[in-house]
Amino acid sequence: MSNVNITKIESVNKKVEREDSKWAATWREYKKNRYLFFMLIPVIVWYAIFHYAPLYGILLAFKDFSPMLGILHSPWVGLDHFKFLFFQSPDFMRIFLNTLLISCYHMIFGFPAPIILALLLNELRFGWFKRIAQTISYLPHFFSWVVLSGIVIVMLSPSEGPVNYLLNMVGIEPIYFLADTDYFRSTLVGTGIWKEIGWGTIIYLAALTGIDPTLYEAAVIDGANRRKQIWYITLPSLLPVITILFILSLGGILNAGFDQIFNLYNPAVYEVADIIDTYVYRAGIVGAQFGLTTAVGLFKNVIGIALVLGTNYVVKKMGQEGVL
Amino acid sequence: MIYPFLHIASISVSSPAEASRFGIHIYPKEVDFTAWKQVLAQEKIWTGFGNSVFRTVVGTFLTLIVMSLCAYPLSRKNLPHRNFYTMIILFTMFFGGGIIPTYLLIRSLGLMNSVWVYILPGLVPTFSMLVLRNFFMSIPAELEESAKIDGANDIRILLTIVLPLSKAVLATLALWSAVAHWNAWFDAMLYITDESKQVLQTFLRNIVITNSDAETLGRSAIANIRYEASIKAATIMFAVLPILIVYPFLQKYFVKGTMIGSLKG
Amino acid sequence: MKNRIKLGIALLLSFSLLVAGCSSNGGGNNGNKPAEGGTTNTPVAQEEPIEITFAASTWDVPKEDNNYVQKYLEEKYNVKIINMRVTDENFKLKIAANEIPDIFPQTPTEVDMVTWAKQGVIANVPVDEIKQYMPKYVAEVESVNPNAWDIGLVDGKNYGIPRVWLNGSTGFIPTYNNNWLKAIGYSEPPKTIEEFEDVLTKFRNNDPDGNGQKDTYGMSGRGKNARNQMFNEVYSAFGVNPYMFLEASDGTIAWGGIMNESLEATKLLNKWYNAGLIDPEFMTDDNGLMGQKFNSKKIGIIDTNMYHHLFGQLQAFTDNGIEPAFGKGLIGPEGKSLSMSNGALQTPLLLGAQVEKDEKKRIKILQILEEIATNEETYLTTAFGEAGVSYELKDGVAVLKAPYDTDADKRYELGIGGFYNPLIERAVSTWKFHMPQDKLDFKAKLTDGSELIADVLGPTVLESKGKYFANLSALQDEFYTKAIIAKNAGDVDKLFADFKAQWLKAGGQEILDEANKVYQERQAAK
Repeated sequence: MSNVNITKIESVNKKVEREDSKWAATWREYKKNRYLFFMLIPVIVWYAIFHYAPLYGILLAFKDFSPMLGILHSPWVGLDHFKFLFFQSPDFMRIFLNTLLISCYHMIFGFPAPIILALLLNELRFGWFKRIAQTISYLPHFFSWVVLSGIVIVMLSPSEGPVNYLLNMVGIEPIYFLADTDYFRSTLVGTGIWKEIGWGTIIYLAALTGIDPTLYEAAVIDGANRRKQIWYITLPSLLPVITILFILSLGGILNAGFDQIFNLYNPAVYEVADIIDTYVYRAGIVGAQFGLTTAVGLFKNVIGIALVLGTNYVVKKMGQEGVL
Repeated sequence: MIYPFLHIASISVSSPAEASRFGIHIYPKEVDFTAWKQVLAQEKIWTGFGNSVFRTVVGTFLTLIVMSLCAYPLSRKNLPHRNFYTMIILFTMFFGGGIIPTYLLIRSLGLMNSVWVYILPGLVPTFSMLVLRNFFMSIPAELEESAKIDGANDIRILLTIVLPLSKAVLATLALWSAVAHWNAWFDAMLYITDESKQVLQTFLRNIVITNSDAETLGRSAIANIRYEASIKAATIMFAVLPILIVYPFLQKYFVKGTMIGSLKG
Repeated sequence: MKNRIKLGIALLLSFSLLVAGCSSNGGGNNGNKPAEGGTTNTPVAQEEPIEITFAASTWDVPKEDNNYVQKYLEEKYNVKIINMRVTDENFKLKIAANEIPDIFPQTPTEVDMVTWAKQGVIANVPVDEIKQYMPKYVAEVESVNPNAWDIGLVDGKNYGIPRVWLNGSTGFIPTYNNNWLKAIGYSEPPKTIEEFEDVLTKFRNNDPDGNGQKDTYGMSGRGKNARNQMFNEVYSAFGVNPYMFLEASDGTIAWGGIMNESLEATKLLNKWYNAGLIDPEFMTDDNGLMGQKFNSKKIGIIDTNMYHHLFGQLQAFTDNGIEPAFGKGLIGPEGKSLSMSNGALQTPLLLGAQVEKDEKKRIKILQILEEIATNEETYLTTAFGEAGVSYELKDGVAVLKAPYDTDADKRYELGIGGFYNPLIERAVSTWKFHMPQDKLDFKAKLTDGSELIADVLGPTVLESKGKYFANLSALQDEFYTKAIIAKNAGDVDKLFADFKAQWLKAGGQEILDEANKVYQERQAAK
């Protein structure tokens, strides 16, 4: 009898000891890295105040908001806003697919473009020429699509525009880019790259400065030409930056660029250009409000974070640093 | 690439007839500076300019500091519960309460109509912070280990080793932050009612997009409606030029070989 | 590890809800002070001034408090005014945060009005009370459009003060390049659809600008955004507009977009398009581009302006070396000259819900509004400022004196404009102050004798509209574009039949039914 008791007490004691040491161990870890926490904790507090305190606003996606009642007391409507989004528009599939397709095109063509340009700029010998090229390349980034769309319309005009003028010189018939369903998406991607490519190179150029020149020297001794150097040294060195940027931009996969599309589209190309955001914008004018917008945002972000975590997993399996 | 810039610059100094011409604009066939005179004479353009400069300079500076303080601990693999802290920060990139609760929060914090509303809510841009964090992670461990052996604590390591090596990335993120501050208008629109605290972008939008600034657009005198296109162009140029010149100044940080010396030495 | 993350997030979420509970809307009523009515029993009752929160304009916002106009109103009517400065973009957010003014801005739409009525954000003001305290104003509004009360009716109750926009009862004016007209042999603008077609053909083919190149088009259209204005003179000649509710021959409400007349007009446009008379880039043109093309002598006709726009652009035409010729509505199969108009009905001026419970404040507001709109002295002061200082009367028209005429900052210092006068330019009797003789003459020349087409229902909210309209208008926009550019004239009929069927099926029928119901109710109430 007493043996059992003693064993029980002993095992309980050991358990308590173990738990004790678990908390104690954690405390010791924290103390050991206390400087890190001095740096981190204020920022966490900032996140708590400015990001977590307002988080209850997500509930709006499930409520019929009334200003008199406030967010918490407004009536609950469950998935109604989502139903409106998915089923009311007879063609949710169309806008969803447009959104995905346009985003994918942007990623496939628009993501590598600044990298390539950065590599090219890096090859330039003359410093002043490089600087001028850089400055010119990022100029369009600073103008909003509201301003640029007017310019783009004229540039792509079948009758007046220089683009069609050049095509004409090569014997191609004028193309009405902005009103042709076959060309509109490509136009979106093309003008998007034109606008952002220069700006996008900056982060890569920054990363390029960190590459050890002795690596190149060693490669030259080994007989590698410029192309091999880029492939075996430059690109792998850029991989960490490329990876983090890639993962994070996947998070915005369902934001296919409202500003650009809204300012460039017209009814002739609705069937290829209408995205989730443009539909919600039009719906908002005739009726729906905060609830619908919040629901749509939630939908987009859930998919976004799933993609980010998924890609993160794959990337880590491949041995790279990811987001987590 | 340079065409939009030329187009708008040209229209801003074009005569009304030239400005309203449909087509390509590279240089004005008829020059007229009235639009620029009109824009520069507006007092609010200058107060807007001042407020924008304030938020850009102070905001970027503070952001760099706080971002580094956040990114560094998160980059250390030995940080207890590292994944937890990263996750709760990453979470905020995707899930947010939206403008209504944020508005109520700002109101209850007493930040309504205060210039600090331009700086505090946006203090840590998570995207940039994560990029910085990953960059910190790529700095060779030997550098820090040797410092630790010499008895340095984390703060010293951050200040004397990590940050100096990160100049190019910090310059880039500073640029991102500066441009974001310079172009921001949404917070001003929601939280600032006092015209003397508005930023330049607010006035730019009123003139170019919402067309609600009848004064600058010269609508009070019917004859001035003719200058509307050039006035809009001049305002756009005024808002764009200052930020364009920031990058050339930062280019000196984009110099090769900042890392090498430390390894060899 | 994962569990800990979940736990952490759950904790933070609960933290968020806790914060939400504390900073509940109760603590945030900035614009909502309780009225201080006269509660004392002292025999010599100098009543406490009633507090009124004004937010009536998002453009003419006074810079400082206690400006000239504010003090004038406060003294004259024994009120204390609180200025709430909002913009169109942030107003809805402020409402959401429960900052509700007494007098709303003039810009919300009918959709906002109905939403707010149902949410209890705006005040229900009985029609009889408005008639009692604003007799002159009401009479003037009803003289412009007796149906003005219909707009403010939600669930049988009236919300707000009815408003009409006087320029809304004028139509869109087709404007021609007169040099070109003369070059092709027309001494005045075309009157009929046949003449119009002839003009288009000659503008395109006969080199009216005389530069030896075939680079001119007859017309373009506002294909990018305001689709109801696209080719409006042509549709009006057939008696319709594809984006309006119109009365059909059997007395019911029909939707312009699926009426046969629209089909006929579209077939004509298709014929013109295939003949190369219409600028093929009409699909991406907006108002700005059309204006540019007209001024740059690329197209010979623009149709998106009303008389007051044109009055302001006269100088610009001269700058560009263009002599404009102003036409009237075209005569088509309907047999008479018809023009499209936006209609004079507007969303009423709304009052905040708290006004419904506060009778003293409500009555005071109505009294002030009546005088602001119809009393000449009050109107002139709130709209123009101080006689002899900021304005003077010339031939019955108020003219701003320098520097108030060009320097808006000075105007906002005084506080003149729509902020303290929400009914500015809305009342017939005081409109005269804004209309110099030359503008009146111009208006008469352009608009007299025109018969107008306007939406029969005006700005009306239909529940089904909120559900389906975003899709249906996209559907319609796409159809009208495809139909006009169809290569084969015979296809237009088929496209139309398909479109009509789809439109009705995708919610259009429901909208029509509801529209008819509302229309019957309004007819019955007369």
